[in-house]
Amino acid sequence: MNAPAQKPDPSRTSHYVNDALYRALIENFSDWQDDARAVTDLAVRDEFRRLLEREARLLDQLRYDDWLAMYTPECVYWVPSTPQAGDPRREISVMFDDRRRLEDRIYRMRTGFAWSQAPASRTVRLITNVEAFATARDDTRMLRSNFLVSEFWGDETRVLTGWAGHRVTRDGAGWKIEAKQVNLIDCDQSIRNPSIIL
Amino acid sequence: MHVMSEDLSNLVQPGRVHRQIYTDPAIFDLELERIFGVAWIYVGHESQVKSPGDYFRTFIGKKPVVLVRDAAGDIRVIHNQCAHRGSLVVANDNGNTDEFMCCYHGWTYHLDGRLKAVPLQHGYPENFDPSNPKTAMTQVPRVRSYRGFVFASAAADGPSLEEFLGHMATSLDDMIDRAPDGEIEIAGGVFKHAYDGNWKLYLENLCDAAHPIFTHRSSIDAAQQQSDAVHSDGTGEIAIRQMRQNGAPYSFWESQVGIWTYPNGHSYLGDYHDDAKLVAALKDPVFRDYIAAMEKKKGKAETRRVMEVRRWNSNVYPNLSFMSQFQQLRVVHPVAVDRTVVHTYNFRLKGAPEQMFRNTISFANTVNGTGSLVLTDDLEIYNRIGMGLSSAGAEWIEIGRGYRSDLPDAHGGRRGVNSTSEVYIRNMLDAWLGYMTAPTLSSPASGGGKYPAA
Repeated sequence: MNAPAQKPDPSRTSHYVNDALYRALIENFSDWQDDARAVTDLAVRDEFRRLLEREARLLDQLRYDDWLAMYTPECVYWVPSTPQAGDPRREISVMFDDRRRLEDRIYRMRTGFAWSQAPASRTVRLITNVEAFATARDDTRMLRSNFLVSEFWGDETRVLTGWAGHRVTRDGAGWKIEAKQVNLIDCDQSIRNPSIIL
Repeated sequence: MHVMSEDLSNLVQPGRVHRQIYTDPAIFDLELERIFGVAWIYVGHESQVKSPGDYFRTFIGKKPVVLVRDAAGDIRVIHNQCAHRGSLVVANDNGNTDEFMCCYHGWTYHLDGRLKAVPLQHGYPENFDPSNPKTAMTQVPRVRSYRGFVFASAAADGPSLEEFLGHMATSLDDMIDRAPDGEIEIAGGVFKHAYDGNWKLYLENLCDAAHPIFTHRSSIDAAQQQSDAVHSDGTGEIAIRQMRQNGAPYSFWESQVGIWTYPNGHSYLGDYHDDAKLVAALKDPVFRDYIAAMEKKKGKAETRRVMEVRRWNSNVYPNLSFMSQFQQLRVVHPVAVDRTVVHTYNFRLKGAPEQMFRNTISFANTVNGTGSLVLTDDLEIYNRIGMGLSSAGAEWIEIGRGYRSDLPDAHGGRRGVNSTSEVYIRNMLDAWLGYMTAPTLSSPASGGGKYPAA
């Protein structure tokens, strides 16, 4: 009987989230809200507004597969835990997920054993103040929006609020999300069990 | 308040404890006085106040205090309360200052809490003496640092910090010994958690080896189904290994993991998570660099000794829990009988490769993160215990697992026959009963008449 093939040590063979990705992430999310780069074309802004509204709807409807399909194969979902979000390699995050962790997050909620989501929260999201900014790359835009998530769970309704930054990249006729940074206004405080995807 | 010592003694019995100690507001008030008002309470780490004037705001029990390095470079813990009309003086979580000033009437204080200046002083009676030590942001009577970990006791007399820690000091040593330069510092931000349940539940969970397979089943399942062919960076590996490890079978917990307990309620889980399981050990280039840095500074023999210490969570009763292998530290703040806040910190190992701290951050995000795939389960459990215990349907809580098989430990403690023993809960409750029924100790030195009699 053949011995099973030795699996390569993953820490040496692959760097799916590598330093270049981190560098780009930090660069993109530190210096982009520049009035001179604001997209003023209303039709273009509306395209991005529709993208963000669709994302909100899919999350409210727990349509995670469709939601994940809005993201590029390599993507980052990042909820900083520091008000002036710094380097996620050196600062803790409420959530910092590459695609694999994001898949884990969704898989976990579907097991029925994620106790803080059994039953699942009911949510309604309001997305407003949508702005788009050009970047140095033709195929990339940065989006800023404000959000207010009402979450009913257990026996109470609470509100999670803040602003989100999306880095989107051209995908055929549309756009895909490469990175999403969710900035809760109380990100460094006790946020009662934020088990939903923001 | 009508809770008598005899009543309290009846609430903790062999192998069981009455739910009242988790639900009775009168008992909670007594705990603040007799445990948090007496024991050595972890306040903060010296790296949070590196320079004169650096301060950090926290609590001893529910009393607001400030950890501060004074002008002479000494560490002080002073009550965060103005001697005039009682206002909180320091409102920022941390910072650096030359003096503390109350924003109500402008009384100012030296960094060691002594009163500095009082506006309109001529208006007070002649016997008003600003130099009276009680007219101050009064100092907590006893403050001691164990290798950088600062503890304070509101009791003027009692066992020394070293006596209080006993053998548990070796767990604090392990936090520090893992740094090639022999120094650690708090970095990377603070996670704050809250739950609607009693403070004791938190420490009772951190050395509980029997809960992960049920409580964390969802993230175990998620991590197990993930293909190893999809890789992220090394920090992703830390997360997935940890989540899978929670799913180890009972046979693992009953053969390879141990629980040790010591006087004053302290305990640790040990022989768990050897480095091979979490960081691919010597195959991992980061860990190899780290070992090289350790050996260069400490020599091979000492490095080997340090690496062979394998402790998981160490609990120093009543308000501290830390984890030396991934440099995590949690501080428990009792808020109400059914409300608890926990702050968790990360330490950077000085002299270690930068990637080691990245691993620490990744581990923190996985296990202690406010929105982590693991911690959210625990927080839900605390809430459910809080809700369940509020019912008188069942009066007694069973804590008898392993009761007849506990063994004496070489360092004066008791250990479970294996890690699933609830000996650490029984040990904490022994300490609890000791504090709660002790003859009245000398009353705390602070407080009392702020305005001296003529």
